[in-house]
Amino acid sequence: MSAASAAGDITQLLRQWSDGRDEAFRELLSITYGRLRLMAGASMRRERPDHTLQPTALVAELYLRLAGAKLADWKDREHFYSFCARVMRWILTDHARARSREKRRAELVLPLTPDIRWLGEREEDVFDLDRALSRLEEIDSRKARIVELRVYLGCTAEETAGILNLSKSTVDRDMRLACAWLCRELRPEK
Amino acid sequence: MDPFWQRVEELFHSTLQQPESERESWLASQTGFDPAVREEVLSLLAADRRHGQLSAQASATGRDAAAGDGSQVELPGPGLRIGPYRTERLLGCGGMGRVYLARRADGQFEQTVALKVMAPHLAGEEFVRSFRNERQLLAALAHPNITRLLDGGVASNGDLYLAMDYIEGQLLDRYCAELKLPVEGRIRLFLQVCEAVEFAHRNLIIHGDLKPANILVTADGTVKLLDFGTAKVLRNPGGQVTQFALLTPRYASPEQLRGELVNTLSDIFSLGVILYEMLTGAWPFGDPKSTVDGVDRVLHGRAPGAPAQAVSQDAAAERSASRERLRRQMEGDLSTIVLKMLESEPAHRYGSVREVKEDLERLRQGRPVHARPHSAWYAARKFVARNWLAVLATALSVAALSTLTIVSVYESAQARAQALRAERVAEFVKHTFVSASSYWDSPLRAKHDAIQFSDVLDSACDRLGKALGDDPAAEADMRDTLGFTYAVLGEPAKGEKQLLLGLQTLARARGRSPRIAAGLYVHLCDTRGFQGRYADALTACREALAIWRVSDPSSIGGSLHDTAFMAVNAGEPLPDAERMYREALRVPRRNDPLFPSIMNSRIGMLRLRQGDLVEGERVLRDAEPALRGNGDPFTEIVPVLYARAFGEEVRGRYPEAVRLMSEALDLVARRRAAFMGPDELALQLAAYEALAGNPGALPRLRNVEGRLPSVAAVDRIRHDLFAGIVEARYGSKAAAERHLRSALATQQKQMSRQPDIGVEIYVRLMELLRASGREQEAAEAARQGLRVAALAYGSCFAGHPFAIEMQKSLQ
Repeated sequence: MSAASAAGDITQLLRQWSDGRDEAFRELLSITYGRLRLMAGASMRRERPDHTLQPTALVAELYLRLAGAKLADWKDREHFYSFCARVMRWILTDHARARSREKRRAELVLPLTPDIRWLGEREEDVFDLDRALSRLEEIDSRKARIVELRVYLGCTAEETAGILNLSKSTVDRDMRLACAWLCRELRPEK
Repeated sequence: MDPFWQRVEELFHSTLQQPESERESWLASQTGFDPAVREEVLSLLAADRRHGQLSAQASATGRDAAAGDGSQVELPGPGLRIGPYRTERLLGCGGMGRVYLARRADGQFEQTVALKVMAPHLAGEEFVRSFRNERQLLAALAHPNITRLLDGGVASNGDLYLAMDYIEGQLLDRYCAELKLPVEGRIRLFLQVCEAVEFAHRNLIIHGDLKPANILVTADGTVKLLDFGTAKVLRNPGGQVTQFALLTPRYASPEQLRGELVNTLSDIFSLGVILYEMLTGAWPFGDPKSTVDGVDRVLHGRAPGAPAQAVSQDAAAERSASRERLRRQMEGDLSTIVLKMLESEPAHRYGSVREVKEDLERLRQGRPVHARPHSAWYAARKFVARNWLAVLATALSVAALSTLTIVSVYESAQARAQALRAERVAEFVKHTFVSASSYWDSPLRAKHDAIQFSDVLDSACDRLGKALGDDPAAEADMRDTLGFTYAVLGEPAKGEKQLLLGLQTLARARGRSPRIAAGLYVHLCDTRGFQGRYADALTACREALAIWRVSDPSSIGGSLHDTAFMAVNAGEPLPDAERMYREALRVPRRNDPLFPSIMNSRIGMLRLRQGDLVEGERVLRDAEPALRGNGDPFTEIVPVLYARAFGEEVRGRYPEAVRLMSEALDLVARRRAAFMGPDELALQLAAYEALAGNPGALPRLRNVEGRLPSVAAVDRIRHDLFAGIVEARYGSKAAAERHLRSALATQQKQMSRQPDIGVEIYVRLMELLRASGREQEAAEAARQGLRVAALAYGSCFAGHPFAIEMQKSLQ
């Protein structure tokens, strides 16, 4: 089997996942997780003393090494970026969980999106956000996807709109409600 | 979607449209019969208000998107003694530490320095190790445009420090903006930057992180490059720990973004970005803050926007010109020069900073510049002028030695790895890693500060014996998975150990498990192949093949391919390998429609190597359409392209040959992240560049020399041959001869059953000797070459172009 066939599998898995087959995500994650962790690990330790985890580099690396599929097709693009955001979420939460068991501060930190400036101020935010997003997915998966792209990949509203094939105003509206909902979850009034 | 939620959403937005004082009553009127909805909307509206308040508070305390505050390290404040210096005040933060103004405090003499202090664990092991060695080198860099590194060491508390000239000046962009410097003035400044970088490159020091923040201009207009060479000491002096999404490596070359090593050509790219911004005020690749733009840039090697288009009104004002005037200045030669520096393919950029400087000087003097947009025709014109035999020999060397050994080894093994991992490692990972149980609570984890996949594997290996002791087949199967995962993750020695253990275990199993045994042998072959131990890999392959022949003869196709492939790498005679490929053709693999074409691509190459140009080309041409795929060709097509290029050259059709070679190399360059180390690629590109007449070949060679591990004979021959080619053209003839003779010796001792390699080396040697005026020795090389060619090309000897050329040399 050639490398292209493996790439075809990944495209297929991405499609399945976006069609709502969650087990496809697990499969994708297993294929790519090790790689991503290595890359993140390499970024953090061996090669890069600066501990920056650049989604740009990781996303591009992921594509080059594994996907091979054409990103020009918008459907693939959407799957691909959503997938990356999802994996970033996993890595961050995972990392924070590991660190908190060791009573150390996380080295990979939640990025701030200008829309949710208070996010990340508390150490538990990483976990709480992860849990909250899982709940939000069940209520309104589009909003959860939007938040993922903006928070974990740092995409702007325009880019998010482009990736998900929505209008910018839809993205803005969705964000407003999603932020209110998240604020209620993560910062409940006493 | 839940109708409740939909209603809530609708009302949320429509309520917000009402004037604030009327919202509650309006909402009540809309939800008279629906108190649950009303409560939910109210609650969300309250949250929306709270969200606004919290966001405002967060900005007020300075915590916004651009701030980075992940640093958790305590660094010394001012007034501290570090080495022989005492700090006076903080000059700035950034990179991996802080910079202070400091004075010499040990009473030796008066000295004011800029002291950069770094906590070692932030710097990383690599830095600490090279710190001591590199310091001498860097301290020797004395140039009017470079801040000198004066001193460096380790403070008593373990911090690392570097002491540099303290320079009073402004950062480059600020300087240009305040003076509203026009284009000519900016180019003059830029030329000073080039002087500095060129000087360092001549001393074999690369910067790796050129950006305006590293460039100061003193009051009298002298440019000073900061942090020079610390980048060679430090691989990647990047930012602090921060919100990662917002750090865009704005000045980095595409190869840097992909995580490869920096070289002089990456510096040229960064200089290109700097120049582009200095001239137009805009970033060449779109919006610098955009993730998607950033990703596109890396993935698609997005071309920079035309400088003239990027000019804005404000930018023009800052350059003391009207927008139209600035636009006109940005067209023509200036644009060509900048764009050439920004080529995503390093081989297409200027080969050296000196060339950049020279072209800019020509521009200023109104002379025609040398830069031309890259095109195949340009390269082709150069080819026609060249001695075609030299080109021909190398094309085939490139084909025979590089593709067969590097691209294809990794390709078949890695491709297998991807496929297998998807099936088997996914299973394994799910059970031991992704799930919350065993690994999380294992005491092993407490020791590590980051999750490493190989740690998981180590721990799993320990447990395996106990867990599956009574089921040797299952244990062997698991060791197979583990072993190969190790290998693919870059630890082949550990991998081999597991695989061999697996085979031992399997011997204990009741009943036969041919599938598992064969799997272990196949992976053993790949693992040894990764290490360059091709002869040992071949042994493993043969075992696997033997097993398949007995237990499942219809599926030996893949195994035959691997064995044949490894045999070639290990120096076995070519006809034997060809026989195996042909046998494989008769037993095609299921679910693999490409298999026959791939076999034919291999067979075609072997035919060529045995001198049968006609048949070889025919077979390759037949294989090509299937390998082209829909739009994006598979990597197996690379040897086909090389071989066809060779064929075109033999017929004197040079532009065709160049086109094919370019296509092949573009493919290799694009896929290399998966298949070939950057050093190997650089060496191959260097050979090609030497051919095309690009002096950039030499620095490229120097960058990788000494870094290429060569266990296997075929690898050593390749390195020597390519290095010899580059040296012959642009380096030292003595070094070229050394390399070629070394290649010859290796071939004669260890690859003697593949004489065609020897022919090529003799041809290159002959050419080198002729060019040095040593006609007698050249003739002797030709004689030897002819003898070997007769062995290699058998019945095709008489008509073979190599043979003909060498005979000419004897007349």
